[in-house]
Amino acid sequence: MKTTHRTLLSMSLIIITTISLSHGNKPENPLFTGLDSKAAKIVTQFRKALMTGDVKLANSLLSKDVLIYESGNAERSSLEYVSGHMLADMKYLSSIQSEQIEHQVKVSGDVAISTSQSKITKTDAGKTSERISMETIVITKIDGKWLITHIHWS
Amino acid sequence: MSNKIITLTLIFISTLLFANEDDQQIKSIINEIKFGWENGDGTPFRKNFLDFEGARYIESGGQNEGLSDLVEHHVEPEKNALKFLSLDFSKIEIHYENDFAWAVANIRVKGEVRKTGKVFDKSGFQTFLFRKIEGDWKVVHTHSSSKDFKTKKHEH
Repeated sequence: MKTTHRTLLSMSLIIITTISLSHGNKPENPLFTGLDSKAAKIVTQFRKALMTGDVKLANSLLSKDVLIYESGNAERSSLEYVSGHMLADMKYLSSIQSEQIEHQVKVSGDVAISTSQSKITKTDAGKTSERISMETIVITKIDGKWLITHIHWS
Repeated sequence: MSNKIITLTLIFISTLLFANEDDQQIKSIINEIKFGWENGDGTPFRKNFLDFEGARYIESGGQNEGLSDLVEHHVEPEKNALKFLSLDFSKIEIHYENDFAWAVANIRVKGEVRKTGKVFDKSGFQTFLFRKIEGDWKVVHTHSSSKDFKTKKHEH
């Protein structure tokens, strides 16, 4: 009987260990998935570049023919965005607090889709306001390099 | 030499034909989606959207998670909430990358809220992302954003 108990205990431990190892020590948060991929890192780098005002880095992550939809406007090349609205975006981002509340990246061959949601907090004349910002980004592998080919912000 | 030219011409024509077939299928799906929104009918969505865990459909600051959420909590309720809804997609551009496609379009949305009588008229942009599954294009993600028509001022 004792042997049976020991066997059961050992088997339970093996099963628990197997489950634990197969899921890693930290269970994946379904709100943040696919972020280890190369394509996801491009999106993360781009976001950081905009937040820190790094024009050169931001530009290097965009495809030349990128299409950007933002607040009812469309920009149809990296040149148009970088020489136009990007600086205003950088200035805006430095004036607010942005907390990413979810981010998923799915890679399918040479294309990846990134979707994310952020909580934007802005303080203006002592008044704090909050809104949710949504982002869709298409990243495409062009000549072996992942580049952003489409952005839709709303 | 002439054989090579004929072969190349045939390849070129068949490429155009296939591209045209893909364009037609994607535009037809977009048209069916328009019908679905305007009539509060979930059928075109269930037919043309890929139902998968983690699917996100974004609309101006909000999102539906999964196909059932989109149909049951957004598309179908609009039938009762709105007296009418008209949705127009124009300037549709489609880009392909093997079995992946993304289509962008200008949108114009007009409608009337049944409860308050408020009439709205908005314009903006739509992004559709597709994957080809067993020969058919399926919508895997949508993002639409709009603001009151004729308002050209940029927010920041």
